[in-house]
Amino acid sequence: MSNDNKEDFNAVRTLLLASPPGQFDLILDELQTLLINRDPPVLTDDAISSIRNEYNSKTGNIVISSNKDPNEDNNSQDDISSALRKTIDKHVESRFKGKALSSGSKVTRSDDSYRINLYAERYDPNNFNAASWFAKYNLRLDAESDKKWILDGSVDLRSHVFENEGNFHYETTLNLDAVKLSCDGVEAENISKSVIQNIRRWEDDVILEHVRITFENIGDGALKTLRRVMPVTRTRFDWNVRTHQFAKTLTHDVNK
Amino acid sequence: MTTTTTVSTTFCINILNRLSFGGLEENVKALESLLPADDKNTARSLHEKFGTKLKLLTDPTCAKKFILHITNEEGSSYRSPWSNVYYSEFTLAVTENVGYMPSPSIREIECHANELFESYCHHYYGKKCVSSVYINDKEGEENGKEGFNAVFMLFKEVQNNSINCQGDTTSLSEGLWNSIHNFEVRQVQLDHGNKGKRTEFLYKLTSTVQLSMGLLPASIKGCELNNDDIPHIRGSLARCVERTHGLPDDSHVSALSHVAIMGKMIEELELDMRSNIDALYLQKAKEIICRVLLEKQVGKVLKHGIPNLNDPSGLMAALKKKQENLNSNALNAALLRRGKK
Repeated sequence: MSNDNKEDFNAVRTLLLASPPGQFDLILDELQTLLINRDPPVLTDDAISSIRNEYNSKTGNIVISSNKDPNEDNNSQDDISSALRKTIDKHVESRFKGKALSSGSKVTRSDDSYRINLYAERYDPNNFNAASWFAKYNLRLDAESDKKWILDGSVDLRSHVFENEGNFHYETTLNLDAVKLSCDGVEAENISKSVIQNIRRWEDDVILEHVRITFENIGDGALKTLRRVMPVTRTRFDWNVRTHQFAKTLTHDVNK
Repeated sequence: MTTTTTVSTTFCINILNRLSFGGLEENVKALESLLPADDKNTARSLHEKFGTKLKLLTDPTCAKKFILHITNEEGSSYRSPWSNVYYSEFTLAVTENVGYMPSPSIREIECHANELFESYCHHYYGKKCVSSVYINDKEGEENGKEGFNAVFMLFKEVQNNSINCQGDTTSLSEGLWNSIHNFEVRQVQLDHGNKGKRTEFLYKLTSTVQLSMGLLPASIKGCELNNDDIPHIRGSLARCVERTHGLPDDSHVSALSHVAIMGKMIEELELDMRSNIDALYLQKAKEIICRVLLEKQVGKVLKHGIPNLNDPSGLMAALKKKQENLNSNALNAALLRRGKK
């Protein structure tokens, strides 16, 4: 790749990696039209594929896309992996299914620990909004007691509202405090049941509560710090130059 | 502007209208690098519409900051609205005879506008904000009698590095508010009615507000926020309005009137935009996150008269109650069947 071509590739990569949920292909279409006459072409199949893989891995979309993460081994068939897969699939089906929603989950094993990835994405162009929910949970044996299991994780939330000349993005990452599961031993059914109970509790009592609290009274809190609704005088500004010049003169005389 | 340039501009604007304001500078730079070298119009259009992070310079004559913009730019020098002098961006040396200088009548409007807009900004945004107004003569004209172009800009930044999640409400860890109000003012008709000569002007206002907030929600048990992961809301909103006003012919009075008319239009539009941001965009950003999790339940719950999608905890409480009712109904049915046996 020549230097110019490399710079163009990096520019395209920057733009595509910044795509909001569900809009990677829309931005790709715009770029393809913009660069239609570029020679040599920037958006080759290989280039698009590599950027798409990188985007999917970064955002969690890889869980539901057809791309395979080369670092993942999804073939573990031990009892715990199978039980977790069954339970998580059921959980996703019951909670993350809807009209404009795509969702999925993956369970992978690494030594004695398990990684559960859950991804849901919503893209609703008719109502000018999009969102994504990417949860990563880790299940491992407690180092102090090889019969106890510890579950922790994090969740990345993104939303995008683009109605009527507006373009607003909300992003947050929550790290979920580690919990010791109430079950112990290696009974797969019990472990998966306990895992899903904790995941549900996090979703209902921690994640949604965090979102609710973030936006509660935001107009009177964070937004007011930037711009008040009305001045302290509670009246609109007087745009008469004479009034302000007079007030300045008075202040100057008082300060003398 | 050629057709090709117009098409390129459209595609670039479509892309930037989707991407987050957080990476604006990087994204505008990336798009500019993809344009043909001779396409200066698209690059200029992108800067005018989206800008980049507003930069500031301090006028050494009055120690007042002013905003750097394409309107007051000439090479690497920028005209201060306070002293009407061009200063080099890098050395702050005065650079003479470099670029556009407003005519005396335009400069009069510009001075009044800067004085009043600064006071307006202090009332709404506090004393730490920076404001600048630049007014240019209409092309081919030098006294502003037939119209002019004006840009009112405001820059406010909040930097507070406290990551202490205490307290009951969400506060700001860092924030930014930029307003860019572009006016096109044109004389539309001369009225020689009984009340004397009056001139009518059409005021076309295009406003863009750019907003960025790093939030500190009240702490919740069970989770932790790192410095790099605090919730962020970033966005922009654009609006256009047009008004026609009649002004007396006395040039001094009309200068003050222009400023008052433009100022009131800005104030009204900013109020409307702030209200939209708070009541519509922010609330919707919250709602659609909740709908990712609760979409399947929304339809069922709405049937039972719980319409408030903006209160996910209320929604969850309603769902739990519904589940309890279902459980108790199932239990009653089971007991009845047992009784019949």
